[in-house]
Amino acid sequence: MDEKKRRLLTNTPPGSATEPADAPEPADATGPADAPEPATASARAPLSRIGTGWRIAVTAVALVILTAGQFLNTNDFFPLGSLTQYATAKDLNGEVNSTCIAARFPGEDEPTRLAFNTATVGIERGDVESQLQRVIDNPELLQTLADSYIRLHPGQPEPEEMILCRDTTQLDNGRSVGEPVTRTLATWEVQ
Amino acid sequence: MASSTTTATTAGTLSPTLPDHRNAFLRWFMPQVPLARVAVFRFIIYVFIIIDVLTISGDVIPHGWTPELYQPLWLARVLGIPPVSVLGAQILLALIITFCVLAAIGILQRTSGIIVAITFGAWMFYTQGYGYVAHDHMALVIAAVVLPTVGVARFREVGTTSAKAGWALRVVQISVVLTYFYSVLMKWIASGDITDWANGAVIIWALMRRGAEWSKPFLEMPGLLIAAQWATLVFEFLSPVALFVKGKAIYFIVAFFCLFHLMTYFALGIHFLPTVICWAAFLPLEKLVPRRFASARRARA
Repeated sequence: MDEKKRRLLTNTPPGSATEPADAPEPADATGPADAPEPATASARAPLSRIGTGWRIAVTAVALVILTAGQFLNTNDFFPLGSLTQYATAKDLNGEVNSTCIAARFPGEDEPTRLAFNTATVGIERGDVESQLQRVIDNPELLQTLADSYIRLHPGQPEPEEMILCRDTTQLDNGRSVGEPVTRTLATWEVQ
Repeated sequence: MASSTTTATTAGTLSPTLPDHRNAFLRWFMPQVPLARVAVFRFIIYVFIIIDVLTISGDVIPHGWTPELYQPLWLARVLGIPPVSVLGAQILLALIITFCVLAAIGILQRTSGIIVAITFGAWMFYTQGYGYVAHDHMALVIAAVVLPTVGVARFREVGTTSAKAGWALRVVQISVVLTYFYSVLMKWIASGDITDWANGAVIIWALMRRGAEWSKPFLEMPGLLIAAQWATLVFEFLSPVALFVKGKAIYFIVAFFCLFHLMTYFALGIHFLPTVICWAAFLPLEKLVPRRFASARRARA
């Protein structure tokens, strides 16, 4: 049987005259022949019991963690956390909130809106919204946004005050009503 | 030749098969797939990781400036991963890019793959560990973790199949599908009543917060947006079908989901590319290997 295997494996099938002698078409390549007929491909050594076992076990554990992540509604198990993005129902007659960041620069009375992203203040709006209450309770955290802004905008005016704000749009049956209302959530004198 | 391969052709396990005496579950869960498929998939994934760390998850270096906002995730707390510094992020970036290049072209395959899994994993904790946790990276992170378990796989190994390769690709496929399927479960849990979600204002909310200008007129058509929400629910719920279809149907399914993401990208700027790229795990990628190259040397038996 082994001899037959070896012979099959090294055999050049007919019809490959235009190819180099040792280069059969892949689908014609003969494999280990416990098959009754020459098979169409070769297979790597089959998985051992242990190899099969741990793969099943790891997949099962990961599935349990991922499933638990959904029911516990936690992102903490990343990458197996809950798939919460856009998962919360929004009321057609509710409000649409959007957190904003503004800075007051020297010599200006009105604060200037800044883009709320990593390129401007070092962090995305979504990141701050996910820990919004913490930032409101500890407005000194806005210092780090000011520091980032200063580092990312060398040679430009440095903000004197950072203002965390929120735009609220009222919905009525899914349509917006009136202009958005802006509210200040926290302020911080830049140090 | 054609007839001998097409008879064994199913979309999920498109491979010229040897008789497989394992039970039906194992044949599905760890199918014998060509190693070349993994080689091509690996190339796509590692090249994409380089693009990812430079663009989509490129916020890690700025996060070096905001250590106070670090909110480490469970695994990062268990492993005691400290907030990232700017220098640390730059070193991590250099390591990821170097070893992704090696892994993509198949040099020191297992070692480079393991190093990418560790460094890219750390990078993910630094991009996600500052408050907001996105779920578009689940399948990609899992792909980076399982790919080194395949071992050596070469582009020319079109005719050599492996169950290790089949398992790795299947796990990525399951992660992709669960990204959608479990998001339905999550909508159910988070909203209490799934119809509240579907009949609610989620898309309106998303469009108002981050919609592109051209998509604003849709805010005047809440009925259409609610219909879109129902449609989303339905196809997300049906996504596991992708794990079981046979034949060319898989091309349709992959194209459908890619189009969905293209649409949400143009409307909302949400591209979901890290998941989109993992849809490649469903396709017979070995067909991309030029035939000449595939047959230039005999597949190792």
